[in-house]
Amino acid sequence: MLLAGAHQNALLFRITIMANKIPPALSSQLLGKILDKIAEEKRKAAILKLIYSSLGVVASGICFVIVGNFFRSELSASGFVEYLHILFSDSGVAFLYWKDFMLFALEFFPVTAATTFLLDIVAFLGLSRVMIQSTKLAFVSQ
Amino acid sequence: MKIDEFINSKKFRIGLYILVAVIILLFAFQAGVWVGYKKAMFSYSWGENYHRNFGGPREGITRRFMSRENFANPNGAFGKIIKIELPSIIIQGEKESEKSVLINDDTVIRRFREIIKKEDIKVGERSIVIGEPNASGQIEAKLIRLLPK
Repeated sequence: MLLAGAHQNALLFRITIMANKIPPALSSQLLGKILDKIAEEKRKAAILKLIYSSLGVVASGICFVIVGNFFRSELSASGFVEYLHILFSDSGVAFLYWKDFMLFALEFFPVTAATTFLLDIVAFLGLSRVMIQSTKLAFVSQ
Repeated sequence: MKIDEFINSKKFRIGLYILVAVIILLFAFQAGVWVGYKKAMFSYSWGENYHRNFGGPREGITRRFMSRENFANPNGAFGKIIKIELPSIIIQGEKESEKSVLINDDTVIRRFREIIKKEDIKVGERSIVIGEPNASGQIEAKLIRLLPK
């Protein structure tokens, strides 16, 4: 019992001696170096993230044009644009036969093209956000 | 925990969002089933009555139509008028098969601002039709809007 206690005390003693051996000036320098290294690593990671997100923004921007054109052509081919026009020009008939008008909208709306277009917008906005955050981390907050 | 605290808690708000999302999802699913059923029914009667409505061969058309895995939209038509056989007209869409549209006394036919008679419809005009399907694979028109070329 006494021996076990002595062993624990010896360990504590050793740690205390080690801590006392580090000079206060050196420890603050070391801390500074460690913090600088962490900041440097964070900056490197932010630059890498910035590169990837910039590529993503460019890709989704190109896709935006392609998918946008596809969505526009699908809208005009489906007759959905004309349907929107007649909702205003023939609102009386639309109100009278609202059920048929509603079903027409459900059936003729180009869902696939619209979903692709929206997904591309979401990707573009999300990647832009990441890009701005990474730019701030990499260059502004130094 | 008091009821007020529970209502204002984050868990309650998240639960509410999930509930609303599930309701929207179920509604969308039900709408999809409903529209799909109507499309399938219309496509079936369209194929069955093809020879009667369009004067083509019965066999082969149904198979060709079904094989495209693209059911016709039963509540309307959009495209060019390719044939007039009053009281019905045939409309060919850009991406859809031809559809027979039945005009009855209640059908409103419009060109620009004026209401016109069914006899004034011409072949080659672009039109948008809204109506409901019948058992013969035709669309009973409620509104025919003739579009400028």
